[in-house]
Amino acid sequence: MSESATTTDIGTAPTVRGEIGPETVTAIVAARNEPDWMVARRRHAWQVYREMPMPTTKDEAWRYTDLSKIDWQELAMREPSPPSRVSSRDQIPAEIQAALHFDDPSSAWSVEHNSASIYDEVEEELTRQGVVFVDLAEAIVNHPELVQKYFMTSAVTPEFGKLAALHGAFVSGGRVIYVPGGVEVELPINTFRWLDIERTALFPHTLVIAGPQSKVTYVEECASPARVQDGLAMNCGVTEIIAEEGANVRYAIVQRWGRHVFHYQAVRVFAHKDAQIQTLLVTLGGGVARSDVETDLQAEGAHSEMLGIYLGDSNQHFDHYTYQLHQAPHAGSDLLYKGALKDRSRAVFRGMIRVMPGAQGTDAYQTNRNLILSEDAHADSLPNLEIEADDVRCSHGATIGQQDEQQIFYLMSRGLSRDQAEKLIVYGFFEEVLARVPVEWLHKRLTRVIERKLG
Amino acid sequence: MTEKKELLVVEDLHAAVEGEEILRGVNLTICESELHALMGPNGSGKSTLAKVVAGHPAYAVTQGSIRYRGEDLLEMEVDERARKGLFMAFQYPSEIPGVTIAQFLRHAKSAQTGEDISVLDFYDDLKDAMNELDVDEKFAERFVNDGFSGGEKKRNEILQMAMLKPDFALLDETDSGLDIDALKIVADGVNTLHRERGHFGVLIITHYQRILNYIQPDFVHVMVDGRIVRSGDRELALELEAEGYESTRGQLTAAGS
Repeated sequence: MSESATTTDIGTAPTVRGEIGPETVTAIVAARNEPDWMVARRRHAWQVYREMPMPTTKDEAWRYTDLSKIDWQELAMREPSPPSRVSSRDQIPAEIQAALHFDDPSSAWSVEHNSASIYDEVEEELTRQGVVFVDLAEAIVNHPELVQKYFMTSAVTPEFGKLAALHGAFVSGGRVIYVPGGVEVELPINTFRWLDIERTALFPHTLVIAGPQSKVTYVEECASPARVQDGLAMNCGVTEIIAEEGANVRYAIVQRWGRHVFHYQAVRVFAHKDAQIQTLLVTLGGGVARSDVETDLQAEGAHSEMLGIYLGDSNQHFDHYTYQLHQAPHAGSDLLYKGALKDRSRAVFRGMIRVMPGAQGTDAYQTNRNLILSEDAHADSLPNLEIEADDVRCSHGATIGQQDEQQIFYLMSRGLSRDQAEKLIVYGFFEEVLARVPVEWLHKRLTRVIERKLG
Repeated sequence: MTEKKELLVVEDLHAAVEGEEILRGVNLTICESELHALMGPNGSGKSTLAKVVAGHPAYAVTQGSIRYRGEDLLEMEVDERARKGLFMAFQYPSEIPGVTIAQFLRHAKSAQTGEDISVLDFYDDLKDAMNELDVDEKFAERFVNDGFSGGEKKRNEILQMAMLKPDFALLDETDSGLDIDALKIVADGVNTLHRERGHFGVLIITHYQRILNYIQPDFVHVMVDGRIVRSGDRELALELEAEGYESTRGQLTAAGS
């Protein structure tokens, strides 16, 4: 792959120190020298954040995840020194190089170190076709028309929720991808995000705009070093996917942060006519991880496949909320989230299918399956339907169960130890989801990551 | 002629499931390279014997012993039994969604040999075994028993047996529900192993003597009410087919009174 430099190198964003508060917003605005429209967006988001009450466990949506346990003071933005940009792969810090997989066939890469974009490369062919793959700061400067039109205006607005509003005020890092109409990007575009400090907060923004009849696959991976970190860190990320008519978008986010991270991720898909979208959420890391994943099917013929896998151990706490919103007739959504829980880990799944009046001919499915691998692990699953049209096909189902002793006996009767048998069954359990991932290397790599976590 | 080595020796075996005694004193000795058939009416305890030998956790041995190649089988974990060359073809094998037959067999083969076997060697063997059993090559890429027909499940059991090359196999009603072609394939699987591995011993549990047209048993036993009440040669199977188990039951009652 060629390693072409981006069109304008605007350097690393200046570091801002300070607690989460209005002074910090002002400091960010002052330090970044952003255009007025962007400053206005930040200030508006901050306003929304201030006016919105912090969700508590009395709110249905946050019943299982207690935000009051987060020490916001500890999250003051303290970045020791901004990592510097590099111009070739071999200049990337060794620890990060060792953690990412440049060998996986791809058409573009970007690497983020804490909040800073430190490296990117894009195949020339993509640039020639007009594909944009830049960090948000650069997009604000060089592609203002894209950012102004789409950044937190339609898929996720600050009003989406308290943490989305916070994100809107503090946003730093993340990528903007634009694929012009008719352009098909065959190989995945990848971002590798590395967090190796504590007492900090990241606010990466992902904005994918897929033009009519275009095709793109975007894989984000979030990781931390294996060493234990004591102080809290937060990731407060937002992904917006706008799929125009007939666009085909596949998006995967693989979260394997260190255990010191509180992870929040909102993913919202805005699907136009006949758009085909697949999202995959892989939740492995973090201490507490909460995701809000929504599909907004705006027009006929749109289809959203929503996949998720999670594997918890020790005292990890995963909370997934999903929403399938059918606003138009003859659209489809198909959700499959599967999780396995070891040790004292805990998972919550809450899913909603909402079919609006007039959305006749809707096909909407929702399945959540949980495998409990230890006596102290726990899962809750709350699938839900709200249907206001009469000609629909909808179903939802949830299971929470332990491993089947008959299956274990069968595998052991062929010589596998109990431990091997249990792992193979868990592997098979996830395979139902992974088999639907069209990127072969991602499928293989996720299998390896899961195997490693299973021990 | 040298004395044949004993493979499996069952002595005065009593076993219960959910507190109910099913086996009430089974005695059975199977030596190397012998083919035994165990017949008997429904509920007589044939499958219970198979499950106890395989080590199914739901079955409790209350009395008696089983020795496998001189060792106390009941002391061994389920997986240890398999690694020592014991194989059971299940009547109702479990489904393992998401795990392909090839993956499963590789794990099993590695567990058996204690080392990671090379992918190429493994697939060569697997291909040969599948050809032998007249199974399509795509079969190995299917998830273990997931959505299989009864016949496919049985074939899968025999494929596993062919790959794992056990010293002793128990076939628990592997023949039931099979058409004649499938039955011949199962029989071929057993006969091939028997031919290739001289010491290979088998216990075929069956309802019908039909499969015994293709696998020539050295001994036929009849189980009634948790005990082996008659043993004989192949003629016994034919006799049972002609006269049914009622005559045997009568003999048992006579013997017991």
